[in-house]
Amino acid sequence: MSDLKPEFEDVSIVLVGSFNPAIFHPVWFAREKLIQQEEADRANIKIVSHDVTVFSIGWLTVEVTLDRFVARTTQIQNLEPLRDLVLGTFGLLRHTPIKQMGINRIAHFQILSEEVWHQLGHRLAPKEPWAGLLEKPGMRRIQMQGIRADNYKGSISVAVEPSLTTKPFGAYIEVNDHFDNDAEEKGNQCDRMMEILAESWQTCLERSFRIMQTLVK
Amino acid sequence: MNEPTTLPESGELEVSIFGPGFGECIVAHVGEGDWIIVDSCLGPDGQTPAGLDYLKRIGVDVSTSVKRVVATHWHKDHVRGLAQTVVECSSAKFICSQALWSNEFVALTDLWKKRGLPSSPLDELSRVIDTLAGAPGAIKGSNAEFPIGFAGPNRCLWRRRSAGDSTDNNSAELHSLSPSDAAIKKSLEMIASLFPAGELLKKPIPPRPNQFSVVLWLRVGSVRLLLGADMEEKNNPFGGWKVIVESAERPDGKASLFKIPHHGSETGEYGPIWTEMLIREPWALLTPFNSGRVKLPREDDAQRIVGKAKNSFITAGFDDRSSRGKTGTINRTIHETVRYIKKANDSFGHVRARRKISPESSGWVVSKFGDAKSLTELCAKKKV
Amino acid sequence: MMKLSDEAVSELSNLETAALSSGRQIVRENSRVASEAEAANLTGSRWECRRFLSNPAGAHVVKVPEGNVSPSYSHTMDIKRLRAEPADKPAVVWVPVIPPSREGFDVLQRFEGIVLSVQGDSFIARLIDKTNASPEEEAEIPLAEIMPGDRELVEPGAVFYWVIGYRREEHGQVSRSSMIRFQRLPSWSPAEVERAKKAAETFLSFLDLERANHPA
Repeated sequence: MSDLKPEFEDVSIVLVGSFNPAIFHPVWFAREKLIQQEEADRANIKIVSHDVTVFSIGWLTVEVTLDRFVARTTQIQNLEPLRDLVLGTFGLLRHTPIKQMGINRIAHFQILSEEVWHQLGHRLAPKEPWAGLLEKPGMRRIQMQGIRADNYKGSISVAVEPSLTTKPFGAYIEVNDHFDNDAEEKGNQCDRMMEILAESWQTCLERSFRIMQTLVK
Repeated sequence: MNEPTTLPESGELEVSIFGPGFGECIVAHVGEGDWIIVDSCLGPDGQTPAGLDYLKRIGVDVSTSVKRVVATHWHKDHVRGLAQTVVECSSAKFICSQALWSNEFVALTDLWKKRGLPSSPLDELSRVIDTLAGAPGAIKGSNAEFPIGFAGPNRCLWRRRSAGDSTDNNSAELHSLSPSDAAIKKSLEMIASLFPAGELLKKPIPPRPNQFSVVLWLRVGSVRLLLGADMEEKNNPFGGWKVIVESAERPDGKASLFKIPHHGSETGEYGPIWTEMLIREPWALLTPFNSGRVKLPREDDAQRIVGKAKNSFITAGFDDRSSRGKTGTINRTIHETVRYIKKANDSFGHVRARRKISPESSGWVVSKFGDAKSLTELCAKKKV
Repeated sequence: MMKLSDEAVSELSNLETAALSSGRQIVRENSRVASEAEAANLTGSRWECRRFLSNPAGAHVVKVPEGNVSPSYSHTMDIKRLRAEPADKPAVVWVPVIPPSREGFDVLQRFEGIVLSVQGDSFIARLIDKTNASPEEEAEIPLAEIMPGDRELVEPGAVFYWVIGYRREEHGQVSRSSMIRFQRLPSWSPAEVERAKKAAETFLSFLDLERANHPA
């Protein structure tokens, strides 16, 4: 059975640590050649302040708060540049304390019929245990978490909901590949997290794709 | 492709050279089941090291029979598949320039590894370093044989003694004739220049010239071979063919087989090699280099070589490469974007030269496999 | 993370209840230390609201979009309630929501390319097939195919990504697309290089390299 194409997809890299949002202006990224000068000139800047920064440049959205850095793209053709941007940013800001990282993928899939849609919900959340407790129970959201099978610390979470954007029937799937920093020295936190990102990026993307395809087929 | 399947006899010398359009590997049987591998390239499948694959196909136990694996330099076309070769030839000593075991080079491989980016020539060498560092004998204080050897000017890299005198058919020696000490020093400076600061990262492209190459002199019994790697002559006092030819310490004798240096280029040519180090009308082997706009040997190079060695053979030609089809969404889009697109290595060939080690032997018997051809044939084809 | 006052927690609880009944959702931050489960979710797509000391009048307010909670975005609160608060009371500022786009891209083929040489108005590159692992190819690509912002990067050794596929526009139009973008990774800092050299020195000090000078 060939792979199902999602209607909408989004990949993000989320870092939890300690950040100075004011730094992350498009001008800074362009000056460090992490994005094109033209992209910085045309950036859609929502806000840049000491507490929060949000801007987008077409293929990329960056959101930074004091304890979180998020880089995301909805353009699947730009996944490597997304990774490179984060590697490049924190290759330069290598003293940033980063405790955790998430490589996340979300997608909305069109489901062919109501019957298939219900089958999906029933497969993931059987109705029998709810008989007599709820009238017409239906799956609203299911979230599962598994341990990591690789050498990294962290976990992998998957959540499935009915999609509210894909009509008439759709499934929304969210995969969070979560890493806890295992750096031995505090000063090496940023380097170690970027090493994990470089090493695991491709595997994470392949895994989230496989998870999504397995769930929706 | 017709393939060789027979082992050489114990008293038979063999030199096999493999080459797609981009890549070179030599394997040599030096008698008594001992083998030497020089450089590495990938075979037609683009995955398997060509020399290693050949040895296994003809029944050689590479884990015991290969005595030396030599990396003449670290250009990408000479190291693809080298890591796997080193791993599988587990009892072979790895020979290279000392520069590859410098702080600078090891640091460079480590920095690239941390970036996690694939497809770098340093990737291959990084794995070689890791493999050898983990070998028994590598660590200080170990009594096991040390797995690494440094090539240098007129240095003996391997020797098989025999009961008789040094010209007995069973004795053999492998010498490096380069790099010179000055060339090693220069190569360290070159490596240091590969740490760009304040710029965006680029894949390292080892700059020329190739004075840091390891040129090899092999003697088996009374038969001698000169393997020229990518050595060039650019009138540099610290390295090059002039320094090699004029060295008073180099091994004596003249070679009957010559691996033409630097894919037959004009810069690899140095007249005195032919008069001082080679017999008249030696057999000559070479691989092409076909990448981007660079195609070696050029027509005049080929004519020059044939003029000096009528028995010259090349592993592949140039015009055997096919491009993608034009149908299908992907191919159509590609053709609309590019001016041309071709397979990087569509041809692949193997030239095998064998001869008896005894002095009475008449000479080399050459067989061609795959896209290999005589250089005379290549010249004729170009004229058509 | 900033701690919420009991008052703020109570306020948010009220808002949450109000939001649920209106069909909106609010993900709220709890003043307690995040549990392990929550900690795992911190890097997930869902965000928890953040509280900033900000001028509420300057806060952006965007309507909650229809559909699933957009990853990593918080949701708005009632602007009237926000503005009703005394100016000196720390306000909750919500990050603006960017609604999901209907654009998409179906990737058919990916290459990683390395520039071999540049001449005039084109460059020659070696292409590694990242979709099918087919043998490497070489191509000559006109500079006109490269985004103006990337042209300064075209030099030997530079790496680029080439993606071919179908682009789906917002309004449903589908078109064939070929996109080349150059890799942008900063080189190493002098400090990084020094560290690597020191690590290499330590590594090599364990090896008996003097013996390598006698390879026979």
